[in-house]
This record gives sequence, C-alpha cells and structure tokens, in this order.
Amino acid sequence: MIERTAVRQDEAESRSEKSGADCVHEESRMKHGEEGASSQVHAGPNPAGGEEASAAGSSDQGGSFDCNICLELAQDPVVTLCGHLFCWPCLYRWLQMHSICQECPVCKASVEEEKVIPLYGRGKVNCVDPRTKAVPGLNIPQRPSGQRPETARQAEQHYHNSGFNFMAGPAGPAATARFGNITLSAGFGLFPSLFGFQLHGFPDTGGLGGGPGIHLGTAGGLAGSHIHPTPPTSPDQQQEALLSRLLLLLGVFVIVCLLLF
Amino acid sequence: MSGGIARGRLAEERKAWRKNHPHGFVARPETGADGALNLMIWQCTLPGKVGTDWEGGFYPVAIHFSEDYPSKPPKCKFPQGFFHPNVYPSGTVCLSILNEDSGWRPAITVKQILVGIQELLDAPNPADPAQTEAYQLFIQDPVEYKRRVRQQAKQYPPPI
Repeated sequence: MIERTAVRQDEAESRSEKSGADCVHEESRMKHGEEGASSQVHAGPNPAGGEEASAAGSSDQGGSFDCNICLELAQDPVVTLCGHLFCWPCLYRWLQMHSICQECPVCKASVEEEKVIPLYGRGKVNCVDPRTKAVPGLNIPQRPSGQRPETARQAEQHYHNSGFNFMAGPAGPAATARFGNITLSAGFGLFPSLFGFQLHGFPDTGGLGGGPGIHLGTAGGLAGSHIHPTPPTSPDQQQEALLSRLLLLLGVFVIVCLLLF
Repeated sequence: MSGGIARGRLAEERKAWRKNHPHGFVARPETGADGALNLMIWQCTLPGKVGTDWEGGFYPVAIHFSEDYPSKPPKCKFPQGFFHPNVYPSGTVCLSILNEDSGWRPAITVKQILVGIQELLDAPNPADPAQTEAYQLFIQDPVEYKRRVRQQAKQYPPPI
C-alpha cells in the first residue's frame, strides 16, 4: 500500500512536472520520467524492504486507471461500451485517425463517439489537460456528456406495467398478452371516447364481460378489456362469460317464445 | 497527426519494461553519440523459444517508432538478410499485429510486440511470405529449413 501510494505520488509529480513546463522540450521531460523510474527502483527496498514485491505488485496491476493509449493516469477519462478506459483526447485522436471503421483500441469492438461514457470523479473538474494544450493543431472537443437513464420513479411505473402484463401473460395465449401490452401503451390515447361510449351503452358491464363483444364487435371487446383491470381472458372469466352469454340467449329465447306463443 | 503522445507513451513503456519484462528479453532505447536516449528507436533482443530450433539464439530486433505512435504501429527490423519466411530481405518483420490495416491496436505494448515476434519465429505464416529463400525451404525442404534455422541460432549467441 505504501509502495502504491509512493508510485502514485511519483506519477503525480512527473505529471505536474509536465504540465508546469509545457515549453520545456520532450527530451527533458523524458529524463524526468527516467529519473522517476530509476529512483522508484532504487527507493524500493528502503522503505518496505522488498524490491521484488514492489516490482511484481505494481507491474501490471498498477495501471488499473491508466489510459490504454498513453498508459498514464487517464485525463478526462472516458469508458467505451466494451469497458475500456481512455483519456478522452487519446481516444478522440484514435477515432479521428480511423474514422472509417471506428473500433476500440484494446479489443476492436465498434466504438461510437457519442456512446462513449465519461467518468466524473470527485477530483478537479476544470483542470486543463496538458496534452490538449500541447497540441494546437488538433481541436479536441468536449467529452460527450453522460446519458441519464430515467429516474427511479419512472422505473417503478415501468415495473408496474410489466407486472400487469405478467398477470395477463400466463392466463391467455402469448398473442393476448402482447395484445394487452400494446393496448396499454397505445390505448390510452383513444381510450376516453370508446370508454365513454361503452359506459353509456352498458351501464352495468361488470357482469357482462363478453356482452359488448357480441353487440359491438371487436371495438367493443377492445374497450372492454380496458375497463377491467384484468382482461377477461383468464379461463374462469371466459367460462363465466360463456355461461352468462348462454343464459342471456336462453332468456331471450324464453322471452321470444312467450311473446310468440 | 498524433500530437506528441508518442514520447510520453514510450516513456511509460520504458517504465513498465523496467519494472517487469519477460525473462531473457532486452529492450532499451538507443543511446545517441552524446549519450542522450533516443526513445524513438529501441534496440531489443529476444530469445528463441526453448524446445524449438530457435532455442539458443538471441535475436536482435530494432523497433522504430514514428511520431504517430501509438496510433500507428512501429516498424520492427531484424538484421538484413535474416532467415525467416515472414521477414523481408531488408529485415522488416511482417506480422499482423504490426500492420496498421489489420491487427494493430494502440493498446499493444512493446512487451506484446516482442513476445509476438518470438512466437512468430517458430510459427511462420506461410500465407504471408516476405522472402523467397526461407519460404521456399519451409514449404519444399523442411529438413534443410531446420538446419538453416539452427545454424542461424548459432550466429546469435547469448549476450555476455
């Protein structure tokens, strides 16, 4: 742990060295890097007493937050959908160079500029990337901003909807369930007029689940399924509807018979 | 245009290499006449894989980085006339990961390049020949090919 912080500090130092001395030539910058590296190696055994450990420990795992292109701690970090971390300027330059087929510099997955996810840590927000200053020729645009999924409340509503479908799902065939889904999302728009009409026509539709279906055809049936919290497609309800329809027919037949004879 | 990442990246490569590198491999930036390091050219040595005809040889490779590195791959060169089906007569290595249009990715490190070339030594790709001599022998006369490879291994003894 001490080792690790030491390394980080070292990096931070060399970084500040760099940003502080834009005009200083790369070579001298390099020397700082070299010295940094060698001092690390030499300083290794003294504080923790294990050069081996420090070499092994920070060799490959040291750079968990390093850009995959410049290998330094990522500046303006962005992450691709495939999960690879880059400095935004580094990734942008690569994507510009390979604008025909834009792919991840690590795994070659396709990368879209606008789908890159920026990482907002707690650090300095407005610190200027030294690399962007060093390159006057290429304008690196702002990082794409983060995408916000819907908030928890909306998500909850969504959950209810799907719950409703789930209830309707196992009862009827798949087509009905999907049908229910469609009417739920699209039906509310045209719902009020049909609904109102239905209510006026049949004040007590409650008992006659299939009633409107007989008299008004599919439109009525559609509206009927809206009125009831659960569509009348579960086996029990279907049976009930059938029974009531039979009784209705029987009643009508009896009345007709009485009238005729 | 890559805008000067090349040297920063190479400095990081150098640091990473110094911390850890595969056994038997050497990679260091060229030292100029004035004693200053030239990060853009690295002089490397890679050992032939144990158990292959290449074993015992320590093959020198020069890696030339451009200012567009790491957006563009470096060029890796064996000595002129190096005997291998996928090495051009000039010594330039023909390897997919070093080809800008096929396998190169900026995330490939110097370590991966050198290990990749080491793998290539004993596993040449006959679909992509770069010189006639080694390619013809590899295809037509495996026995003579082996002999030449072993002979070449002796030409590159371990560094003292």
